[in-house]
Amino acid sequence: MEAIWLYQFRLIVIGDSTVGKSCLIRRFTEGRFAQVSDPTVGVDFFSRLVEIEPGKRIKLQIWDTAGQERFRSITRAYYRNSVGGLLLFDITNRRSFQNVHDWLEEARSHVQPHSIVFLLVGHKCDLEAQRQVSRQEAEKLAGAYGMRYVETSARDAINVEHAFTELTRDIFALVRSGDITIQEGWEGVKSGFVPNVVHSSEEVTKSDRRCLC
Amino acid sequence: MYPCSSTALQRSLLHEQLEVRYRAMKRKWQLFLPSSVRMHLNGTDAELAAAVGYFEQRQAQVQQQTQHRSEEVRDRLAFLELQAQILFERFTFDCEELSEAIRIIDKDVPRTNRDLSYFQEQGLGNLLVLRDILITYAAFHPEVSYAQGMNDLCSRFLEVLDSEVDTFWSFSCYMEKFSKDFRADGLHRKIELEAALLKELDPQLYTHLATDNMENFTFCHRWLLLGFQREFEHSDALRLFEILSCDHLELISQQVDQARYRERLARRLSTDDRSECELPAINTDFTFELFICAAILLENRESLLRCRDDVQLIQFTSRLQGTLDLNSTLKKAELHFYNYCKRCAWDYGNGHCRAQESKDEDFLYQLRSLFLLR
Repeated sequence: MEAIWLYQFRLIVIGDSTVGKSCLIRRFTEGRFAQVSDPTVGVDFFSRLVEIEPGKRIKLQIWDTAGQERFRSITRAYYRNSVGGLLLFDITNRRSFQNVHDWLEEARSHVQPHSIVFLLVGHKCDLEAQRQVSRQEAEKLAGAYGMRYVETSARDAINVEHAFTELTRDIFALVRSGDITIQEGWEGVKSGFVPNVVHSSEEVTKSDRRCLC
Repeated sequence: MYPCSSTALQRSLLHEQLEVRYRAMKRKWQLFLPSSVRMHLNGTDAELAAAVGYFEQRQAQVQQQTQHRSEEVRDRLAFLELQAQILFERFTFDCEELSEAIRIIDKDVPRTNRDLSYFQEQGLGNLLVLRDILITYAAFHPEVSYAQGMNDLCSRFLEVLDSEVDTFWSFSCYMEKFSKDFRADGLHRKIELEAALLKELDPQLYTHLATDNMENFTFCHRWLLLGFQREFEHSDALRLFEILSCDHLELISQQVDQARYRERLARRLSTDDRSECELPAINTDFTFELFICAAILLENRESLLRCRDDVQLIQFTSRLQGTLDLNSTLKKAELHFYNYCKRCAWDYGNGHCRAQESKDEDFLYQLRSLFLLR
């Protein structure tokens, strides 16, 4: 049976290649850390339910993208239908941090007429000794673009749940306040079954069955 | 890697030349970026550290062997060495680009087919061989450099040939044909081509899948780029790779020319049309892997038609991984392929007859067919 969820949000995960996008998603959706994983070629898809308040579940559809620049011709088609995004950089790789601005530009120019709620993620925070980007610096950049900033580690499972849940909560608040609305032909947000609606839909199926008999 | 017309005798000499050339190329980037000669290890992968050990042992052995060469061989090699140095003397590297390529290669090489026995235990050293090949290729082909996924392709050559030099040159030859697919514009073009082919073969399925950005075709992009490596069982995938890289069934190959020729001949006999000589309008960009992909799509057409959005599509296609049967897929792809050739010949024939009727007086047309008759 399909689990009950209030809304479905579509998220996209972007950032330079080898910053650990796939590993972060795998940790979140499968609960494990893959020491060796194939490089993402094109796009991949994952999903998971998140409970943001007791009894309020959101289904997340997560699109994983290839980070290498030349794959952008493929991945850019996926911005338009995303409501949220995790923008990753590797705290041990300064260049991936410098490219954050480019990624935002890339997203902004392909998401029209919609917009994406981004969360800036400094990944691989277990490798403190090799850090090349300070937390203050990253927070400052995130602030300048109106994003939150979270540091995560897929290997040590630090803040992985937190990152996805925070982003989901932010989007949920925007949906509730009406800043984000469900639109026909847009996959970003879809409404699901609310528990009491499920009741009635069950009744509908039952009555359907009766009719068939 | 050798010209088709070369003899066995020539080949052994050519091989010497290619070997010296490859070593010269490798040495050149190693001198340019001495810090990248050794692989960057991040300390969490103990097996990889062992790999470096095996690799260095092997290199020391090779070094020893070279000391036992006769004078004649040494003279010849010295000459080839000089030749290679002159050849690459003017070649310059873009430091930043190359360093970035090496950084990604160093991340990708350790995650290349580690489950294959070829890359296990002593074979771990082969990962480092793969690394040197990929870097050398990237350094000397800045227009392509390194794209993720090339590690998969190159490792297949290495596994089969088990030789660094042969792999480098075979991979380079393969990339002459496919490198455009790894460039930014080529990636999307491949998807568009697949969509165009599907439009020819099954307009209904095409309409179901087509959108503005062709994002519904993204799922088959990986199939095409990596030659279905992750879709078939490993030995089958290798076999398919060999088929795809040998140009047997391409729209430019001899087989196709023959098939089209026979078709035209039959056509000519039946209609008594004597002015047949122009080649049919055939889209030679439809390479055989596109037909394989189309065969898989058509095989699953009912399920695909039931998919209502891109999520269902990508879920359906990832379930196909490892379930496909190579022989039956190949047979179907071949059939689609010949049918496409036949249809093109027919379409051409029909168009040609009509043209003959309507343009009888067209002077230019007459001139053209006269010219082509020669």
